Amino acid sequence: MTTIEVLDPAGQIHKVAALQCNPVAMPLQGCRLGILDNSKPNFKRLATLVAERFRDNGSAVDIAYYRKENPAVGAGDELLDRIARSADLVFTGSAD
Amino acid sequence: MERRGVAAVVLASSAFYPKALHDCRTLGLPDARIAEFTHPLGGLSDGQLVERAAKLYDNVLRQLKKVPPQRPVEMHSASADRLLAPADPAELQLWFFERHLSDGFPVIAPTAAAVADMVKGSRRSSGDLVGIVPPRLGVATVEQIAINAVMAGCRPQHMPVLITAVEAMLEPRFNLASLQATTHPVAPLLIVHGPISKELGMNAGAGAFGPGSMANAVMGRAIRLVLWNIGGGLPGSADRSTQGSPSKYSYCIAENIDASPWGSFITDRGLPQGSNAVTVFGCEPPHNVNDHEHGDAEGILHVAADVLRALGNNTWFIAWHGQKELMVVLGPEHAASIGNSGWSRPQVREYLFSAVARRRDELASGGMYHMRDWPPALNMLPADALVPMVPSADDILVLVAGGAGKHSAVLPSFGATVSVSREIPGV
Repeated sequence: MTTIEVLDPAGQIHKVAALQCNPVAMPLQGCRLGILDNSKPNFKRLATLVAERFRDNGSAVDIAYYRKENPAVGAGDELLDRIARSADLVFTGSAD
Repeated sequence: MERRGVAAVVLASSAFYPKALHDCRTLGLPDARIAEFTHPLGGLSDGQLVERAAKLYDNVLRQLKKVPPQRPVEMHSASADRLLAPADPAELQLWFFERHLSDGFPVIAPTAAAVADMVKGSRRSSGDLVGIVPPRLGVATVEQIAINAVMAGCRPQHMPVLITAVEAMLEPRFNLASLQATTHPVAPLLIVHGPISKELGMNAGAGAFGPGSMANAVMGRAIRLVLWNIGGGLPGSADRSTQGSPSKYSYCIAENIDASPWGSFITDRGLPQGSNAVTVFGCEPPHNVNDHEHGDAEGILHVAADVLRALGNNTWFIAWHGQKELMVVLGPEHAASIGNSGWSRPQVREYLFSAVARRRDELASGGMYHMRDWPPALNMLPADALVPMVPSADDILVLVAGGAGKHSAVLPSFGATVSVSREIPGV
């Protein structure tokens, strides 16, 4: 096959410092759970149902609920900082 | 949250799992805990949610028990700059398509020579960084934009417009990351203002939104290919648009300043009449306003407002930190009738602002009412109170494009985006 050389239209990706997930000590005990709602219908209910299971079996002592300003805008630093101060584990969503 | 030292689990529906994975990798967290559940989430009964939650709980537990690999994470391997592709034109098209590097239409081979010519048209250095395009966080240098411009069929003289448009789309208030990812069928509309549109042979007249002008077609397509290749906005992956839109192929017009009773739209943006400039606006495809009945401003704008105020428009319900906009593109005959009625552009905006408003209880009957992003005070209004669609009359953008006929267009926006206008430097 005869070939030609072309330039890659996708190109380089901006490098973001890679992260490791923060460790979670299992089994969970006395955890403060946070729910960051993506503002989509039913997410609050679904995440709360899951969180309540953790609370009911003693894994979690507290469930705090937070909501993004709207589904099309990322959670701001102020909200994320607030959650970080009050939760040990956070559930968030990617769904519609 | 992980960057703040707090463990997190993403609860992702099966349809959104690939996007969640893509987003986490892009943000530097390739081993993110993502617990999947069966799509959809919206529209489920409480019983169905309870059922979903039971299974999801098990998936969350599995994710929490997962031991993150203790290794330096190597990610974002750089793509090769030069690739070997088939020389045969038909095979070349297939080669690009199979690698998800084209939108499905034929492309021009971006050889080093063709790209170098394109870069020259920008009057900038090939390595100049224009910005980082989400969600892939692709590096948009002048050369990288030029590669996509070649593929789209652009000419070197199109480059200043394209670079200015990319810069405009990367302003934070344009919210490009959300435009690329949303289920809404939004595409950035590129509007070119000023003498440059004629110099480039753009069509501001009959069929301005449609086919038939090379400059409109290829510059709009180049913007799409930038979003596709550099930005990674591929349908079904990072781009979650439910139905997509024909405007996602190419969406570019020139303003018909000659037919405007009020001069160029760009003067609303603080630029002098006659400036060469671009505006980018994240919106739906044009919605037609057919009015053959009226010859006066109020009659025509009454019909335009009726099209604009549809309950299903995103613009009602979401905003960019409280800001949102609408666009009305008047056909020349409608514009002339409105101008001959003695109405100024601010008067057009004021009329539409009032005429578009809907009763609060009507808004509560559908759309995204419960996800609304309007000031809390509005929630206290009585059911019959009128709710404006945008915060102020100034948020209704009015310009002229098109040819003969009694048609205009309205363009509801994605909602969480604000248009950006920029002067094109050096032309």
